[in-house]
Amino acid sequence: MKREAKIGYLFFLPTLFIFTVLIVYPLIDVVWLSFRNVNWFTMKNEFIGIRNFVKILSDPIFWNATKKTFVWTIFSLIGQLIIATVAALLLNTEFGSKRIFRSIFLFPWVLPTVVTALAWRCMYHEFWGHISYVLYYLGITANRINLLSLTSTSLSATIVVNIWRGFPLMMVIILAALQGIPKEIKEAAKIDGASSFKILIYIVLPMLRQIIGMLVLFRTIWIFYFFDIVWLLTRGGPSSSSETLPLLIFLKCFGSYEFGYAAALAIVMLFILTVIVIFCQILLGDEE
Amino acid sequence: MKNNNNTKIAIAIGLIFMSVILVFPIYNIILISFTPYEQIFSDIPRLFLPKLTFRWYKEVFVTTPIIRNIINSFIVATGVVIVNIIVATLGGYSLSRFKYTGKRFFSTMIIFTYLFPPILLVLSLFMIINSLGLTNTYAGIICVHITGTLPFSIWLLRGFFNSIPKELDESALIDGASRLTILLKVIVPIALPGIAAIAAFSFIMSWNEYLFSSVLMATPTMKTLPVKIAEFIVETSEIRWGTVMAAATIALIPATVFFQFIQKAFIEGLTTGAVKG
Repeated sequence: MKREAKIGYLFFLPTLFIFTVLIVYPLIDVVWLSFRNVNWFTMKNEFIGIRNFVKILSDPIFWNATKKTFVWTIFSLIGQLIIATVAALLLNTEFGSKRIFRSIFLFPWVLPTVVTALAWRCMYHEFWGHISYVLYYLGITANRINLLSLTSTSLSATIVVNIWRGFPLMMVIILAALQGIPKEIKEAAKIDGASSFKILIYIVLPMLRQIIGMLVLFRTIWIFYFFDIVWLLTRGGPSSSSETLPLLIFLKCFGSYEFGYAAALAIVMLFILTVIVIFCQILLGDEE
Repeated sequence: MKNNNNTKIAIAIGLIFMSVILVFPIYNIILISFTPYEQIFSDIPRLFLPKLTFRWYKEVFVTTPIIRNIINSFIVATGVVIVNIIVATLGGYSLSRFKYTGKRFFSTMIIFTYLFPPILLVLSLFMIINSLGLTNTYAGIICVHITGTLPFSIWLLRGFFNSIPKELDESALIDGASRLTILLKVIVPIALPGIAAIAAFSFIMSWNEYLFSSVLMATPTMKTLPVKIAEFIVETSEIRWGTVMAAATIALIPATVFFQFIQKAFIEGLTTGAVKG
């Protein structure tokens, strides 16, 4: 029996090695860096205690990024959740169970983020984009404008893309949960005279509550630190109007090479994420 | 009965409407990649191809080193697939079949890494890979991509292995086979659909990955395809739209095609993983 345990460890060893070298060690390294003034460019490297953190808390750029990140996360999440639920309900019908629809509905999620960003830059383009044309044609905007290039709309425009790209993952799980609901329950309600809509509101959605709770937790984390789409669509601009925390970290790191400061920002971001997770777990725990 | 018919029509309209919104931006890319220069920049956006041209595909292959980028992406993704399969099979089997202290901790660790922000690691990984002299090497970027694909792969395979009866292992053990032989000769052949799923999954993830590749593969000859396309978009003042669209069309083919094969296994893995995780 003891020999068996040894073999078990042995089989897990490669995984453990990779995680230790490429996740645990870098994480410790980030913590260490966050207490230092490290500049890749000037080769400066000195211990400065908590000065990075003090600087962050008094930095308006950090507070701007935090605000943007929360807006980005909350609206992306709500949007994805609504679209995913609607899409799952549509796919869970007789017509929607055709294979083609499932493939199409999963399509945005398989694309390289670079291609997604490019596609939407075309859609938003002020001279020949479809969206700018439709907005102008319907009289919503006075001129052809690119929503990505205005400070007032750049973040919303990226959120739209994020909803488009991110909902399929949620949809798949909600769909699986829907298919797990016993048919008898719905039929019993139907016999009692409930309409399809009422069955949806009073029976189906409440049964999905637990799975939706878990999804919300996972997706919140993923959306919170998602970097690619915002970076490739707007680079955080114009004038920081769509600069979320991951972008700020990246810019501090590879824009001005302030590795120590970027590391401290990363630690602060991890702290915020942890608080959100604990908060979500308390909320979910209460529901059970 | 009439009410029922109306619901059906509403559902059909909803499905088709959503499908159009999901496909259109990509359809538009492919459309532009085949559109002649003068007609790309029309005030009224096009819905259909005005005239077919292959000019942009010729241009992207002749005037840019894109072949090199495609090969790079291919080498990296293939490396990721191979390492990922080996490590995840061993890890998943360990978590599924063996009893040892710390197993619970390992399982938690996998979920933790699954949720871990890459942006947090990018700066220190950059320094580590750099100090090891592995920037702009296939080995360096393959290692980094693995951290992204491994957690889900192990979780999916663990689920697959759990669904295979333990008696198979036990009877083979009695016959004197070693654990490694059992894994390779008995378990892997049965779990082949799961292994195919993680192979395709890790290929797609690696092929699409941008953040780490942009930092760790910076020299022109080592750039992967997404990094090259991003460079086309953001770093040139005058974007050569036709050429970019041709490159983007090439980039989206492998992932889309692969995904069709693994869709079912992938969805199963995703849902069991998420429900139990």
